[in-house]
Amino acid sequence: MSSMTFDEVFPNLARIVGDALRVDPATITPETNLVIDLNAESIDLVDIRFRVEEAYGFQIEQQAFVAAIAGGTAIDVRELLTMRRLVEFVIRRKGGSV
Amino acid sequence: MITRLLESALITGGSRGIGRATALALAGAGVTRIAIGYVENESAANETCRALESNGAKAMAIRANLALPAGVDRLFDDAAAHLGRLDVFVHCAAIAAFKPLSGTRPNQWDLTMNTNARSFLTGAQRAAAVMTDGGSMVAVSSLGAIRALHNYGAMGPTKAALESIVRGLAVELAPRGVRVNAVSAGLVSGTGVGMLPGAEASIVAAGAQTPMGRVARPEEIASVIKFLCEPSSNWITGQTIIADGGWSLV
Repeated sequence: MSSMTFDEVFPNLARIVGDALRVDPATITPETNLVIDLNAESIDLVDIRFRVEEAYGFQIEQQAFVAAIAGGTAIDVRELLTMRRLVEFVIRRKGGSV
Repeated sequence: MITRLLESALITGGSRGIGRATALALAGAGVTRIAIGYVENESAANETCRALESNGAKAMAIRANLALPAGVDRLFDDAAAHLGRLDVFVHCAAIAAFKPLSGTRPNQWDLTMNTNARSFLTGAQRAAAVMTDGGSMVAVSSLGAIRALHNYGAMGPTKAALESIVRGLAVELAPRGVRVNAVSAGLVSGTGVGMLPGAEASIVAAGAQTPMGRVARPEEIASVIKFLCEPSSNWITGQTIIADGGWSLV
């Protein structure tokens, strides 16, 4: 079982997302939405996924990545792509529970 | 230049579209060991391997993110044992954000340039190191390298870089019997562009603007790539062959 916690993972992912989208990580909160608040486009989500894969040592296809973060079947998943959900996805992917 | 049969090929972006068609074309021409790189669709990669096996080739799919130098190294490291010597390296992998170039963000530029162009350079460096008895490299370019295409984003600059890399490497590697060329296509059905939402209308429009009256099929680009890999094209190097049904002429 992973010992990773939300408080450990969030700052790292905020840095990763901030680096990709040229946003100050200090302005990113768990409720920040990647698409709505940070204007991430499809290619940006690919970029973020590649960076997350590299940082955490796993591989996932893009469609599954977005679906796993969204965690639902909403027609428009953009509203679900929050930093909190991204952090929780990474923790689950590494064997932890949220 | 020594004329001999082609035995092995490494193809990036080989799970779908032009890459898949190229792998199948080379298998049909007698290439017996083929490795394909992919990053996005494992089931498509595995299906392509099965198709290659049914054509008599020993096939291997390797998941590698070519945006990273480590991904290029992983592709070549994993392929080495499967391929033995390397005769052919074909670079089809590409990523794009279809938007105005003026709105392209730095990370989008980096990802596109690294995946489309830098990975060809680093891949060609790895390929050249093991092409000890000559060989052929082909990169898939596009008309966006030389023309301004609507909402083509950073894709055009990456293809221009690709064609420039082709010319530079062709001169440097010619004394060793390694040829380097590119194939530039117009819109191709069944490829990344052709599979985007709303692509059907673009395909119809592009077909109407093409003297041949339609867009290309992946197999039609693959056949040009195959030609550039074969000994029969051994006096061609450093060139970008345009295969677009005449689209660029009108």
